[in-house]
Amino acid sequence: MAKRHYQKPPNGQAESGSYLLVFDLDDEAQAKAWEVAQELASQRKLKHVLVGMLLAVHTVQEQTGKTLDLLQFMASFITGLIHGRGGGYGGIQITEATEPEELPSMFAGTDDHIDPSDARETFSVGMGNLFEDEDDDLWD
Amino acid sequence: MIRYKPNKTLIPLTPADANASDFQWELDPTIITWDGGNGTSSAWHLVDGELHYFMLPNVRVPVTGYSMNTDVTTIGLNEMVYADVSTGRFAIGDNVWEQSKYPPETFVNSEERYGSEIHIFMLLCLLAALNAPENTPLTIVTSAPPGLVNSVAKAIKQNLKYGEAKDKTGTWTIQMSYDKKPRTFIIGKVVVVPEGVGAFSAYAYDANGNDVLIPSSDGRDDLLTGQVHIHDAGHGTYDTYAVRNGKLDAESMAFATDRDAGVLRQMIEPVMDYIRDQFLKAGESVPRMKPVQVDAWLREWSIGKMKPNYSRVKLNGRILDLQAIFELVSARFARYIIEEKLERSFQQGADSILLAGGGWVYILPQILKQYPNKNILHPDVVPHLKGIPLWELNAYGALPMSASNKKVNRKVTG
Repeated sequence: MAKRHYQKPPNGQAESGSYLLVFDLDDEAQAKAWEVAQELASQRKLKHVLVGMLLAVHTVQEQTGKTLDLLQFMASFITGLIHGRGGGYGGIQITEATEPEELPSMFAGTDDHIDPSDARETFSVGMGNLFEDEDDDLWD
Repeated sequence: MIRYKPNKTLIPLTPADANASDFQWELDPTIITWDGGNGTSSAWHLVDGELHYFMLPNVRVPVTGYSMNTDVTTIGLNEMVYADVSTGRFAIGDNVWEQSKYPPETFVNSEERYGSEIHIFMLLCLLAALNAPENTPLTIVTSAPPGLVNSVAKAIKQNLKYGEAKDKTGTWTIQMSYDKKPRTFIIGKVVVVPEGVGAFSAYAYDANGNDVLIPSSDGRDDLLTGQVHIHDAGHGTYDTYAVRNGKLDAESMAFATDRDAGVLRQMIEPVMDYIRDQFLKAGESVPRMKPVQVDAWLREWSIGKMKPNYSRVKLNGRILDLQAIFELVSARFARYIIEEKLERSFQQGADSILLAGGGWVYILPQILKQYPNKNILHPDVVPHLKGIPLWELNAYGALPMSASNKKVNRKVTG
């Protein structure tokens, strides 16, 4: 019987439809990930979660035509999950086809800023003395 | 028997001068801040460093002794709160519209409501609920929409200080259903400021009037300097005006009040139209509804984090699932505010948008999603406002405003 020659694929890729994940349990982050993986596996959801995440990467790369910075992607993904929003520009996906009219306003404030304590004092002084004796013309 | 008691909470931030050897609270319990809005009416005061507050929906129904409509409700006399004042007996609180054969009174979205008998009635109920000091002059610090404040401030002051006998003593009596004898309150002084000023102060000062800075995310700037646009999304009106480096922009104040952009016009009326339409399509008679009733449904929904369980209501013997229409009107309200209000502010150069008012509760997630990189201030992002709801910012904020004003004027004159 011909012996099957095992050839290590380049860059850690797998040749068959399976992939062996090894968690380094001495690494705190990977140990926590292992715990979550165990929990999801017990509910038969680990594969769904991993496939879902990889599918999201695929979809975004396909739509944008760009290879994702995965670190940034994960941060935006988790932020969006918690806060219900993504990073970037208000949900607008900017591509080379985006028209300038579709961009959010470029104005980001003014450059005339005084000392913060002066602003607060100005605000309070501007109301006058609210607690001085009542003005006499109330019954006029 | 239901008995009103003030809600109590510790101040969100220990005052900056708490450890000073000559420390004292700037405000005593006789200073009451009051936001007598179209949707709800609430009042706050500081009692030995503890915040006491109470809120009531802006509605009452006349009830006369035992003439309450027990045919349509199982709620008995002991399970409702009513108040006796010189003009009669009125039930108050949510769902009172179900408890009387008489129609509920609200008197909203009118210039004449400020300083009116029902406006003052709501304040008296709140003073009783707060257990405010009796038989001693109280200072009432209140607000009115910026576009109206010039024309209604005098009426509010005069009518409160007239007193119920119109003898200019400022003396009012009220007996709650759970009280054995009437309470006597004396209105000694009335301060009226534009709505939004209290909200700005809530962000700018602590409860004893000390400055609180709000650094930008990069720590290089303060979010209340430069051009700050106050956006107060109230029940009856939506008010917008600018504060530039601490100075109120008089020009923007003149056109600040928009009666078409409050919760009433943008959410409550569309919900009422939808419900009427659905009953008509079902071949049934159109139910009688009041805006205050729909407002209560929406508040209940928001308290329940806008989950479907909290969108079910009973009306005309039917159970209605209003989740879809609530979500639709919220989404449309958000789009309207973005297009008609917030975009304009940013185009005018706003450094920060300061949010106040209950309307934001329904649309804040959409707004934050739309503007992830803009400075939008709301209590959840400011530690010293932790636990203060958006709809209470004007009422609560009038306390730090009053404390700061006392401090700064002592400094000026001292």
